[in-house]
Amino acid sequence: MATNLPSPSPLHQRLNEVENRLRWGRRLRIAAWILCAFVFGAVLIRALGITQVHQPLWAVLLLLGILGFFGFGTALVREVLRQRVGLSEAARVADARGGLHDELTSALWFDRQPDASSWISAHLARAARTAGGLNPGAVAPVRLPRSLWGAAVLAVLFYGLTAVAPSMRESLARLEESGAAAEQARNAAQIRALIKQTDNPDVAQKLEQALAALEKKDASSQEKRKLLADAKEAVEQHNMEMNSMREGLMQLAERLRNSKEKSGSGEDGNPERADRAKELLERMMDQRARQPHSADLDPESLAREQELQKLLEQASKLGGNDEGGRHLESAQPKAVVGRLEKIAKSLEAQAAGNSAIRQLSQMQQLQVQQTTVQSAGRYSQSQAQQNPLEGTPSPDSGNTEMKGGIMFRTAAVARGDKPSESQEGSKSGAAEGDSQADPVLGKKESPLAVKLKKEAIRKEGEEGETGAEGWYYSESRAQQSQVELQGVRANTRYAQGEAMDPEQISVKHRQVVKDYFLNLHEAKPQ
Amino acid sequence: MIGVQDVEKQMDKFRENFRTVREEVGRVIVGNDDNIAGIMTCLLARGHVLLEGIPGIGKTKLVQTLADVLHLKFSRIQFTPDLMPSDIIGTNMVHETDTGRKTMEFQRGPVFANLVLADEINRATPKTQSALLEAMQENSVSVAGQTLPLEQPFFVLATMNPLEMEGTYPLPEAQLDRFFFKLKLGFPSSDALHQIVDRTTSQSEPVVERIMSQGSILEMRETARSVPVARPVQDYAIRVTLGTHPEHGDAPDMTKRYVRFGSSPRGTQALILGAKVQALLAGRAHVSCDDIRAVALSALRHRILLNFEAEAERISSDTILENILDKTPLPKA
Repeated sequence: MATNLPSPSPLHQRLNEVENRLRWGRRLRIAAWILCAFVFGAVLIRALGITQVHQPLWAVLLLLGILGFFGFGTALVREVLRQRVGLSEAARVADARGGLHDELTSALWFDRQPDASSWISAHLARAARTAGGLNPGAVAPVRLPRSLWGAAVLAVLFYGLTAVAPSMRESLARLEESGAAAEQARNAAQIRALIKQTDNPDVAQKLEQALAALEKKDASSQEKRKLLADAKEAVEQHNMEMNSMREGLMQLAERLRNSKEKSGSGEDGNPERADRAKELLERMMDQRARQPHSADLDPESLAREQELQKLLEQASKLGGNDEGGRHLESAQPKAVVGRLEKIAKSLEAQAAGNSAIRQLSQMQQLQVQQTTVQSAGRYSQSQAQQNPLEGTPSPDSGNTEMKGGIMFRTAAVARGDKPSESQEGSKSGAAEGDSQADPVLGKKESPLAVKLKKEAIRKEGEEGETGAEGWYYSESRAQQSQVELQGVRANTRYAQGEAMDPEQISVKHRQVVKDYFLNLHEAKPQ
Repeated sequence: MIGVQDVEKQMDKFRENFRTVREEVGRVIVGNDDNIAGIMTCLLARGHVLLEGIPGIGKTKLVQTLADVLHLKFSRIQFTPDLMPSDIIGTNMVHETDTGRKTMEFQRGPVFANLVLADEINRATPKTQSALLEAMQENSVSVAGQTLPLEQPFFVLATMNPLEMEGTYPLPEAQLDRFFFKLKLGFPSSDALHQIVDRTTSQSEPVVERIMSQGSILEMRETARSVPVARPVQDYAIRVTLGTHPEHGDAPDMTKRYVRFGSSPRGTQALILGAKVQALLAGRAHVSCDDIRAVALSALRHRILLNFEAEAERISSDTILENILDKTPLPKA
């Protein structure tokens, strides 16, 4: 290549030195980065070993991650290799790091041009002087980049973490497992105690199966849900039966009380009526025994339950009291009272069954929340998706029925006693759905029936006949008065405009005044 | 062909002359060193300058002082709406000789001077404004079929008041493009105001000396044009200019969004010539990218036409140019 500088010039010498240093520095950086990539890869593989990934999907994903990591490293190295270091690059780096204002870059370019003016020669001479005083070691130091040191620190840190992580993980897992297992065992013991209190063997069996399934670690969630649903169904069936029984018992206790009151008022001497009561009691009890039973503990049922308990107590007293139970002193009424007490016990057992199924449900929900990776938000979202009707605001009131209650629309907005300025006349209205429309714009408009009047055209000639030949619409009196009022207003406006005229000449006199001044001429001298 | 030593001498002389003029003008004008340097750069690069600033900050005084220092023929034209082109260029007048013969004689207008101050140029009609077009570009005036050359150096300094826009005629793009630099004169600082008051309210105001002749200026012009520019640096200037064009692929997003039309090739010429003067002032015999960046705002701000969106969002052309300078990569040799 033809150059304008004597060979070897200080410019070329220095730039060659800078180029070499740049090249070595780049090689060192590439090697360091490759080493760093391998270290990180090793740390990653070690971390994978610790996490003991068994799921095939996770394994594939992590493998892809590793491949991506190495692919990125390869691309980085290729990119670095592509940027080849030459004299131009050395000149650019020297200019930038030495604050030389593109002196060496320009000089190198001019040096490669065939023509050289005196100005270019002067510039080259200056550049050669500048290059002579350049310290290549300061411009292009061969050292590892600072970011690489940071990466090395990170790698060491990760390696340390992977060394410490297994023991920490195991101890934490043990701690978690022991805590969870203890709590589960406590819950299971409570549920078992409740199951023992239930008198229905079918319900007890179903509850026991469901509990066993929930306790089993390897049982599938589907199996758990199925057994829990079976248990729930059995409990609900039992509740229905008990409910029916409560109703019958209530009626029976009522009758027993009535019979006692009657006996207290002097009618107790009728042995036929007492026999009849006994008979009825027996018959109804048999009927209850045959009929299926159920109960649900809603507020109404609870009130009825309390009432029933009172009546049962009264009935028990009736059966056990020698003074009041003169008509029920025989063995049969005592047996009936005994049976009533037995039924009361079975009602208590029913409450235990309900508690057991509730706790089982809670246990299952807890397990679901613990084992799934869904967050609380996603869990509630999935619950809402299962019951799409829930959470939909009512089109009438805007209230939203949600799990656990109703979200009233008014509760979402703070309301004052009076509507605010922004609410007044606003079409959006208040939060509860009241909407105050905007005031009507424009002048008031009356319906046609008010504006127009229908007038008939009478036939002429024949006397006594009042039939109409035809009809037409004319202006109504209301419309007439409206138009006249508008005329008055227009006149007022006209007068107002006239008064405000800067010339202070009324409109009707304006032409007269204009004509006067147009025809005004200077008088001829006499 | 001159030698390397001569080049060094020329460079030293250039810097010395420039420094002397700057100091002499600085005796009267307080502050505004960058604007004085900008005006001198335009003068030495054979360009014309447009000064923008609020009234009373010394635009006219600056130009008058410069004319006094440079020992040049100075004329001032106060632009008004009723100013006619003939008031600027001149007109043919009937002249009667001693013998009674009547001849048409061209009466030269104020444009026939070395330093022309077009005060409040945007107050005249576009027709009158355009009378300066030929003079500024061709350095000659055509009247009644005759082309009359203007004396060198010919340097137009136009001032513009950005506040009172009512009753003004904004300069057309073609005429704006003919100005080498557009300089903005800011309000002086508190210290500068103290100095202004001290200098102008005492019994004697400072008087400048004529320190540079017409020939020296022409010589400095030649020196400025001699500075070589390497292709990578020239490429940088071109990329900056192309960055002002929204249709250009490498233009920054801000340009594509806010600019309607970019700079003309005159913008690149102004960048390079201005950078050459800057390089000489820095004592260098070559132009660097820093020199291009130093003159980019003055050289390109009036050559960019912003769109409505930029006007609505109050985006100035300076902001666009700063963005372009940030986004344009430096040359890789």
